[in-house]
Amino acid sequence: MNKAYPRKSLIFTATTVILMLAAFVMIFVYAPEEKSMGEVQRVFYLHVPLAWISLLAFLVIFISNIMYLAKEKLVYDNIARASAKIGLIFNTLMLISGSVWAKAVWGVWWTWDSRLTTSLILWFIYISYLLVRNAGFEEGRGARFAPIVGIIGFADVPVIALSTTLWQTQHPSEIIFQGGLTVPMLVTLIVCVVAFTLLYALLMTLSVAINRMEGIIFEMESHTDFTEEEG
Amino acid sequence: MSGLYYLLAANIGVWLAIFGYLVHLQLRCRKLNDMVEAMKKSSGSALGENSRGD
Repeated sequence: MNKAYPRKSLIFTATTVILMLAAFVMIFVYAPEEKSMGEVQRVFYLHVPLAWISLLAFLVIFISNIMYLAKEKLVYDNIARASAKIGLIFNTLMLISGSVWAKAVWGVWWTWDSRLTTSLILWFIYISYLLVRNAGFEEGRGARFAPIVGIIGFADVPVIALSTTLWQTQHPSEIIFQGGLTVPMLVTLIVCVVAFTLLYALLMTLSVAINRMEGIIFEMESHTDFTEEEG
Repeated sequence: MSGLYYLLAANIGVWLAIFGYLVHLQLRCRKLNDMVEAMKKSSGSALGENSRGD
C-alpha cells in the first residue's frame, strides 16, 4: 500500500462493506413485509438510497464545476468526472430497480410519469456531461466545456425532488416525511441510506485517485516523448 | 410469489453491479499505482509530485 491508496483506506473499505452487508440482511430479515404490496416493497430500501446518491452525485458535480471555473484547479475537474461516472451508475440502477417495482405493482415497466421522466432526463444529462467531458478534440477542451452541462443540468435536480408535489403523479409521494413507515422500516431505510452514502464516498476516493494517477502517467509519458524528440 | 421474484431480480442486479464496480475500481487503482511507481523508479524523477490534478 502507498500514497495513492493508503492503509487507512482499508478500514474505510471494510466499514463500508460491513455496513452494506448489514443493510442487505436488514432488507430481507429485519424489515417487516408491507401489507398491500407484499415482498416487492423491499425494493424500496434499494431504490431510495440509489435515488439519493444519483441526486447527491450531481450536486457534487455542480459544486465541483463552479469551483473549477472559479479556481481552474484540475482537482475539481477530477472530482466532477468521478462523481459523474458513479452518479450515472447509481442513476441507471435506480431507474432499473424502479422499473422492476413498477412492473410488479403497476403492471407496466415504464410510464411517462413526472418523477420517472425527470429522472430519465437526469440520466441523459449524466451521459451528456460525460460525452462532453471526454470529447478529446483538444487537450483540456472537455474540462472547459463540461461545466456548462454540469451547471445547467443541475436545474433538473430540484425538479426531480419536487416533481411529486408539482404534478399529479403515480409515483408514491414522500411517505418517509409523512410518518408512513413503521420504526423497523425507517431504521432499515436509514441504515441503507448511510451504507450507500459511505459506498459513494469510497467509490469517489478510488475514482478520484484513478483520475489523478492517469494524469500522472499522461504527464510522465508526455515528458518522455518530449525528451526523446529533443534528443 | 411473483413479487418475490421481482425483488430477488432487482437485488441481485443492484448488488452485483455495485460490488462489481467497487472491485473494478480497486483493481484499476492498484494497477495504475504500480505503473506510476514503476515509471517513477525508471525515470528517477519526482514528476508525480507536480502532476496535474494535485
